[in-house]
Amino acid sequence: MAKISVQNIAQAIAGHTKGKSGGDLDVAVKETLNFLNKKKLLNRSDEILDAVGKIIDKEDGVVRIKVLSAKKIEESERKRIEEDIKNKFTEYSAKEIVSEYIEDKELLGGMKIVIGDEILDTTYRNKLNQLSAHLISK
Amino acid sequence: MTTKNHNQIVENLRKEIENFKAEVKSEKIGHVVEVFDGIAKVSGLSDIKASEIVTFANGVEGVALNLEDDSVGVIVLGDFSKIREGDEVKATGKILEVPVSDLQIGRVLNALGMPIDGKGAIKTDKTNPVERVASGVMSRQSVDQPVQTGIKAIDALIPIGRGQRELIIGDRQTGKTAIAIDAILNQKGQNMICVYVSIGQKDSKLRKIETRLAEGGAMDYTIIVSAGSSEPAAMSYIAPYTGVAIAEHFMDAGKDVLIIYDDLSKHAVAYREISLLLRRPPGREAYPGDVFYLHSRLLERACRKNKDYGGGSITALPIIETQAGDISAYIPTNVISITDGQIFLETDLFYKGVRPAVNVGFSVSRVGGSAQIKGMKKVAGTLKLDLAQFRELEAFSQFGSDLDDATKRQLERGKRAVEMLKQPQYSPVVVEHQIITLYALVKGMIDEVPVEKIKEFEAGLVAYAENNAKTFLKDIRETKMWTDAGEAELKQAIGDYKAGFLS
Repeated sequence: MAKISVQNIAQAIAGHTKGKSGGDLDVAVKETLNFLNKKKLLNRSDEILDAVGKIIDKEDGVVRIKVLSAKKIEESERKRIEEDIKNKFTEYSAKEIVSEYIEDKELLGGMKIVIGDEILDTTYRNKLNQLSAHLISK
Repeated sequence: MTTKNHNQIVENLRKEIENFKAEVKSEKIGHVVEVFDGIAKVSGLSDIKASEIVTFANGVEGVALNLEDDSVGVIVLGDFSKIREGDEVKATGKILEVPVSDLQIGRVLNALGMPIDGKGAIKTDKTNPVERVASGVMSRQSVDQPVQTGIKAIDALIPIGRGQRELIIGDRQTGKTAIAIDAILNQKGQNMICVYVSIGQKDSKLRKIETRLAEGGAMDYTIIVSAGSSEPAAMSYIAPYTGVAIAEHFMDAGKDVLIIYDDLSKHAVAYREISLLLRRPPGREAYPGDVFYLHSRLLERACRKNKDYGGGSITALPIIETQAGDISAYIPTNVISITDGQIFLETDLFYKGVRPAVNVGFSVSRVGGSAQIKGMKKVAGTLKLDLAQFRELEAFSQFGSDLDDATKRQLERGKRAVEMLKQPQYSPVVVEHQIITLYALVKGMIDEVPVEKIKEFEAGLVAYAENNAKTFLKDIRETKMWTDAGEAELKQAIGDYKAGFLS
């Protein structure tokens, strides 16, 4: 039999708890925990929870982005970035953007946007790396 | 260095920097989940293709082999000890490829096509994909040109044609590599590029081979691709594909290439190691299910192209090491069924002094016969049958000494044939000389020469014929034709020499 992956378990949990609230949800969570305990999967709960979160986000049209920049980004600029992502990355069909802003002096300038497993790197650090690779190859 | 030179360097750098445009594009990334034994499991990297190159944070490259539900199995092409859990991994969108160039001739390369002989970088912009689908049916042509290995037993009995795949199989220490090296050495002036792929071999052995090839002047047309035994299994797995990718560069330019894979048993073992680490289900002898395809797709890339497609060819000589002569093990049977014949070397023969230790009974060449030149075909036609009958009679004659004259004659002829096919290492014989000696043998003209004097007779005969059978040699060398006049001259020369030798 094929190995059950974290993804499979997460899908089952998301399906089991979907649309439930109050007492029903309590029962569903308890059952889930019992199941994980029985299958000795509690040590992988972080991974599973992460995968469940991703499934629910996808269903709800929530896209989580990470913006790394050398300097602090102003509120108006943040709104513009989120709007741009909504319009340009249509394959995510984002209804809501949840963003996290991180300052990192190492990047020198520009910004780096991480959406799922896609990355858009316009930082000076990246440009310098590209330049050094180019000069070495010449 | 002068100030002028300094300024020149600075100026060049300034220009490069001015003209440089950084690329901004969205990239797919993933993160290392675990690393062990040259394998990395990476999460993320959606949309990645099979055999796509990925780069790790420290610049080491890897190839995506296993595309699973929630992770990607990557083989690391380099030092995996510096990769850490959580490291960023970037997909490059490129399929694994190696640089190819005419400048690679005479060099020793690693499994990624980079020089390792300390003779400097090879500048080239051209690359070939490591994995490429073999040439299609319509671009091919049947094998009709010979590859002269310079080894009498092979050129006469198991002939190899350009574009053929001929397996060299045998136990350890039976002279498999020696045959391959002799074949390379004999390609001098034969319009052939040679690629020697060393898989999982000791560096000392490779060094010895390289020195031997250089001494024989063979490095002028040879490329060595090496994945040493100290390198990760991934390198051994890729090396033969790299070798054939380089060979294809020359074939596409209309040239003939001879490629040697030394050896595919170690290649299969390296692939087994990778597959087991990637948790692919093991099958027979713990090899994965696709181990046949591993070799069939490699050897299928050897072919002869027709005129419309440049007319180049790749002749492959894969080597397989057997354990205790067991040719019915998994990998040997696989490769025997893929190739167009095999040269089977035997330990017993080797220790009996029959070297090269070719077992003529088990060895075959399925397509090479049509590539033999006319003269060779004429003399070698009956030799195989004679030898087979000799082996049978030899066993039979051990039971009694009362044999009729015909049988005795056959036995004596057989002994001389075996003696004549013996040949020391690194001393290839050109085809016209092979024809002279084999003609004397099959026509029964040396039946009176004592067996222990055959070698002496052979050497003398060749030298004598060079001066006294000039028309015959000219015909063979220039037109490759067999004429009655030439034959008569040869017969006369052999007869004259024999008379002098025996008196």
